[in-house]
Amino acid sequence: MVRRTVISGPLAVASALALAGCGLSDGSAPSGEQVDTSGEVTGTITFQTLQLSPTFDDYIEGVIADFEQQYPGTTVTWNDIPSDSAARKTNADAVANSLPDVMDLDTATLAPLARKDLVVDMNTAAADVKDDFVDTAWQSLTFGQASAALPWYLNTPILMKNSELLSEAGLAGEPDPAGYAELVEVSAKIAAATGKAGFQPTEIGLPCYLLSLGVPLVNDDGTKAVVNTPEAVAFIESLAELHRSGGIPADTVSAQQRGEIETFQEGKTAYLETGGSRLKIIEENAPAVYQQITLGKPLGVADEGTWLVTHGIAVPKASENLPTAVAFAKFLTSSANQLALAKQSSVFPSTTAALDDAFFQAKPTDLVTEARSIAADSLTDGTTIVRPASADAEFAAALWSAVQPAILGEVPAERALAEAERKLTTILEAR
Amino acid sequence: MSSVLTRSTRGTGRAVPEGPPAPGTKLGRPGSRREAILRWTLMLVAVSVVLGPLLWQLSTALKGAGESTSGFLGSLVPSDPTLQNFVTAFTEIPLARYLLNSAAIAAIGVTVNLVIATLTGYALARIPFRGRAVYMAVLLATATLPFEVILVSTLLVTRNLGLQDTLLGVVLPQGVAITSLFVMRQAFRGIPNELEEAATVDGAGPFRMFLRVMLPNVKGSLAVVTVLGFLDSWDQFIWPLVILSDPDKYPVSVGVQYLSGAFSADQRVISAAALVVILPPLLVYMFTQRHVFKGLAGGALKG
Amino acid sequence: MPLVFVGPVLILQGTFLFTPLVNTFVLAFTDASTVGGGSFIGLDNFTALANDGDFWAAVGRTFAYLAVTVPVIVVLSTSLAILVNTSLRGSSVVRVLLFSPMVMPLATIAVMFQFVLDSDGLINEVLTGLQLIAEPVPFLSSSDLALFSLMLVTIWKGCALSTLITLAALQNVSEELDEAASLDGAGWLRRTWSVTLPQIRGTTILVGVLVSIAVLRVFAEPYIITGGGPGTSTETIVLYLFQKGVSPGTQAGYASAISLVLFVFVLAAAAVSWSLTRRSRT
Repeated sequence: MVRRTVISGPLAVASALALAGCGLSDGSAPSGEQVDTSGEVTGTITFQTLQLSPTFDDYIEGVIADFEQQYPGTTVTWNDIPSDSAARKTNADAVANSLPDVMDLDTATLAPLARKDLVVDMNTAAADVKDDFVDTAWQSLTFGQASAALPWYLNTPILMKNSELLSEAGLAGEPDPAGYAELVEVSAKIAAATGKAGFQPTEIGLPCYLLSLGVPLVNDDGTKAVVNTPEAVAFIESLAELHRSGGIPADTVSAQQRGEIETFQEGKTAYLETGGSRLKIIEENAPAVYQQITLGKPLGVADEGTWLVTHGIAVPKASENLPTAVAFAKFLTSSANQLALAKQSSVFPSTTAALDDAFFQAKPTDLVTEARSIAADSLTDGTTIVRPASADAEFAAALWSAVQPAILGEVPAERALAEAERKLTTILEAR
Repeated sequence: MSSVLTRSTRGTGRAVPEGPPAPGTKLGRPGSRREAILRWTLMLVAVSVVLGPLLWQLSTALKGAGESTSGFLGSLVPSDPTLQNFVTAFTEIPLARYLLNSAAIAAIGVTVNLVIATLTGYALARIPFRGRAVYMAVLLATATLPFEVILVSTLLVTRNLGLQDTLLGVVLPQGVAITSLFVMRQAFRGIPNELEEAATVDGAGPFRMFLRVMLPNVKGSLAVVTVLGFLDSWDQFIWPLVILSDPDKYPVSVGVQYLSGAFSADQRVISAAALVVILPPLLVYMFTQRHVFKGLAGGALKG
Repeated sequence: MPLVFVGPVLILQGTFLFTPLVNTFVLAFTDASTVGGGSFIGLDNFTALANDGDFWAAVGRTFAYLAVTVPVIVVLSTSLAILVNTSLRGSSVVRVLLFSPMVMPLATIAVMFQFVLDSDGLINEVLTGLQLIAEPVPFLSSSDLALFSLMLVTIWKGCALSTLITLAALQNVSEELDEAASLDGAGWLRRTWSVTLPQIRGTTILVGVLVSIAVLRVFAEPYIITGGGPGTSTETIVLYLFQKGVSPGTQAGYASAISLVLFVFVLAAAAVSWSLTRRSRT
């Protein structure tokens, strides 16, 4: 199965959620030697972001100007790269020892750097501000003992429901499904009553569903895949059952071009777990469905955990100007600066103070503000799943490809998962 | 299926026009009335199989946001046709950018290919040089080499030259179409020796001879090479997909499939974009089919 | 003086054709990654390849693809060429339209056919509308059907060029023979079968070989429409090569070994054509 990445451009920030799935952490990163990050804040540093230009030019340039004013004698050189080439460029830079002094990276791209112990441990370098951040966000950037980056912007899903479809299925007023197992049950009911689907499972979502069901995905040191467990078999079997009964869309496994958003806005699925920024797209494309949408908390936020997409600000150990780089990282991720970014985009800040702002806590007046407050609440009080770093996009694609025949009911789930385990282990060993 | 006539096949040596283009269409005489009716019926079936998907695509592209994209017999004609999806294709997705990239790639590619094919074709046809026979043999031997066989190595070479993620990196590795070399060689061989002798008597040097006497005599073939070069470059997919990582540099063929896999891609907008992408080669074909394709098909047979 | 004329081509081909070609043969015996490096490992890649079930499954699928598309395209394009080989009024418009898929970018056609083959796409809607089926046919979401659905796309696009070439051959067919047979009282079918077709046999073989080589390289259809799925049911040789050597894999050495095997298949197709052509000429 070939993985195709998601659209770029200014949408990237909003699409972070579509890309990344659950947060991640790695149980076994080396905690290497500490580097000294104290010293005078002066001189020049380079700062690299992922696809924020040109939409956020004014914002970033403003933050840089404020920083240079606060610390006279510093210069911050900013460059922006497409998120698609982030992994490639970061990898090449790491080999060539030319990583930028301050980097905006998503967790998946950050993971290899953390594994190789190339970035400053923020637990010590930024111990003074650690408590300002939401715990879940901090955790999602923690690899082993070390914290590889300061949390920057976040995204987390909400649950969208097609209320008309639910009442047609006789489920109006019922509580939301608490997790994926319940979602499967409800989907079967919806299919039986209405002939429509409950939800559309996706390549990116599958590792998260399995994690929340207690499937570890990989062993402790990330060298072997562990996906063939009774829980996983039961879940894939239930998906196969749904595929037969119509509880998930017929084109689920071939839906390369029809994402779960598309089927939801066509009124073919009842539930959609996605970022709040999608509301605007649905309103534009399917006004009739938009009228029917009600919102709920993300699945599993209460117990097994929900997904979180985190962008972190990392500083390479090899930076020639560590004091200034760390100072800028703290400055950029401060509550005030994060709040300003969140207000002009659809992302969430990662500090408690910013999340407590009226912008997120105000009484909801429409779906968009309601989505904002639901997501903010789940960030501060909910639990998040930590996904192993090795379970990245390539992992997700290979897993999805291997279970497809099982979802179609062509091969037994267990055989498909055993095959998936074999293939995934080969991929992990090759790294 | 990639065309014989495309550089991506690296040409099969066999598909090379030899001699003049085939004579004009010499078609069977119209037979009885019954035969005419039968032929027309079958031809209409064939044409609708070809046009059906395109028309359906057009109908999808003209549908407004509220209208379902599925359904056929009842909803082929959009209830409220709108050009909005075409506008969206240009405003919300970087279609214009992709078109520009493709145009740039085509312009550079066609130029490189034209210059190389003309120079080389001329040398192969009219300048005896040491190793010419060997070089011809090598060309013929590599004619059946599919690009995919050297894909990975070419990727390494191009990267080592620092050309990854550049438009030049897209163009140069596919810059020499063996087919065009043979087309030009053929054309130059067809020029009578008397012309050359007359020009020599007039004291023309080799370069003047080439520019003033030879080139004007192969205009038709230059047009063929240009058109095929353009179609080829518009069609190439695997190489730009491999060598480019920055979506801002994608040509249309890669761009549209990339968008169709994107999360918020609307089928109507993608259909509109796809139609826009198909249009330029289609227009080129419509205007040049009489001259370019007839000759090539005829030539393909005599290799 | 000839250098001015052949210099540019030698530079370009030297860089982007001969170097990669030689390098492919070298890399196939190393464990190089796509980032470079690598050391000599003898025949290890080929041993691994011989035991690589996924690879041979991809080879098997590609040959299944060949076995279906080549005969279908050859028969269909010959029939179409005979059909449009007429001077009926308006038939020139039909010819222009019929050949048009030839110039449409394959990648874009593939995107279009995703929608056509969907469970609620054009084909299913037509079949449902004509009441031929009750349930949508899972063209793309069935391991048994997906590969055949891709073949439809290849055939739709591939027939145009083959028909064009065949038509050109038909127009060079001698009319005297046809008329003589006609005077002998042979019917149209009989004449076509025993007089016309033998005269274009060379072209038919050529079309078959061209299609074979093209199909051995099939990539865009599975990559775009199914991504190789469901499962691996539409993974072809080049798609497998792409995954090992380009995205996301980095096994340049192994991928080069795959490339060489692919090359052998292409050479075999060319050799078959050569021997057939020789036979048909004697």
